[in-house]
Amino acid sequence: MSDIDSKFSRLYREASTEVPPAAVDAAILAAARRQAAQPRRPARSAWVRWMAPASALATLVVAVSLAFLVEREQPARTDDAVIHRTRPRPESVPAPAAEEPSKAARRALPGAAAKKDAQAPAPAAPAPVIVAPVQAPTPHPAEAAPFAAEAPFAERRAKAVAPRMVAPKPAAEVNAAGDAAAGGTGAAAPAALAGASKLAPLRQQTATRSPEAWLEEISRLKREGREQEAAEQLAEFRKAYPAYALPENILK
Amino acid sequence: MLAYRDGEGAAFEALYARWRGPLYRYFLRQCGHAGQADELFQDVFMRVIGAAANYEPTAKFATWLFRIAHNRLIDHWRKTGREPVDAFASGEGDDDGEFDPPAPENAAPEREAERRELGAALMAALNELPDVQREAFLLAEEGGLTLEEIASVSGVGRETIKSRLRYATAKLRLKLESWR
Repeated sequence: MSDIDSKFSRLYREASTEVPPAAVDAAILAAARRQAAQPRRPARSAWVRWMAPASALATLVVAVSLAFLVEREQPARTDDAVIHRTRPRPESVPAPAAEEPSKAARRALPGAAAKKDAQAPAPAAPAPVIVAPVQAPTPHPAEAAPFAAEAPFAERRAKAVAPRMVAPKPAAEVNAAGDAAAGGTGAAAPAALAGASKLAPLRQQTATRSPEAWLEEISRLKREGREQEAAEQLAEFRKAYPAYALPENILK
Repeated sequence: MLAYRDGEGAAFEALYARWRGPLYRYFLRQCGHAGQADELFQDVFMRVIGAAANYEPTAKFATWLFRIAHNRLIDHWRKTGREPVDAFASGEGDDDGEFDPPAPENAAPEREAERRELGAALMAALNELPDVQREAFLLAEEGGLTLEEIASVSGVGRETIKSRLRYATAKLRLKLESWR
């Protein structure tokens, strides 16, 4: 140590020779051996060291995923609103002359495909087509309550498949459809459900109807005493929506 | 210490053999009582053993060891109601007179006896130093620490330590004046 006179230093070292008692030495060395003999737990310390960063990372991943999901969901709603606004009015709307199969398949998908078609300008068509708006009958509050959670989904689905109704049809059929639309689903149903061969249009309807509207239709058939047709409809419904919980009035 | 942390018991024995004397004398000089020095010394080494599992070499081992010792000593002094004294006697700091003890190589029996007496006088003079000056001296002599390391252990600045050492040396020289 340069700050202490070297002669002092030498003298101090010569005079300073005390050491701890042997008993203290023995106690300390015994404690040290006991400690060294204990099993080490390096894995646990590594886990403890990485636990906090791993938790933070997992939280971040979940948060980012949720943010993406929410962001993806929001434009879909906006596009639904766009579909509403841009939906052609019943008077005369140019409809696409013919749909390519791939385009039709895309339209069958709710959400993204429907968005694209809604945003893209409709190609000019030779004949104007009257669009029949899909009207889902409002279910009774008591019946609607169990399916309240599914209602927004059904509504969206109905909106997404609405463009199918714009498919080109012969003029007479278009007029008939227009009449049916004007009279409501209830007025068109008796003619459509006249026989078994008429189930095909019904099947087409299942694609456009919400489950609630369909169940209401079945309920109406039962009320009118048309048990056979109601049973057929119910069977169709079960095929289409196997997981759907049926209300009690339908099961009776 | 790293080897001992990793489970090598013999590494601690080597470490202990190297530091048992300096640390014990540090406490002995600071307490002036062998019983208290034993207790403090044992307590510090028990702490070293307990801390071995999480030991990370952030400083020289001696610095780490004497920092534990310094903190333990301060605790001991607080318990016993003793405050470390940092007194600076006036007019003693600038004495640069040479101190010339008899050389050990001229070890005639009468010279040998004289050196032993001189050593005892030095210990007595050291014992009369203010606590902080004595501590600086002991950390330098027993721990072999640099000014920066002593400052780190004591929690003060480098210049303060330099000043304490200068005053300590001056006072020791004055006490041993009669041996010139």
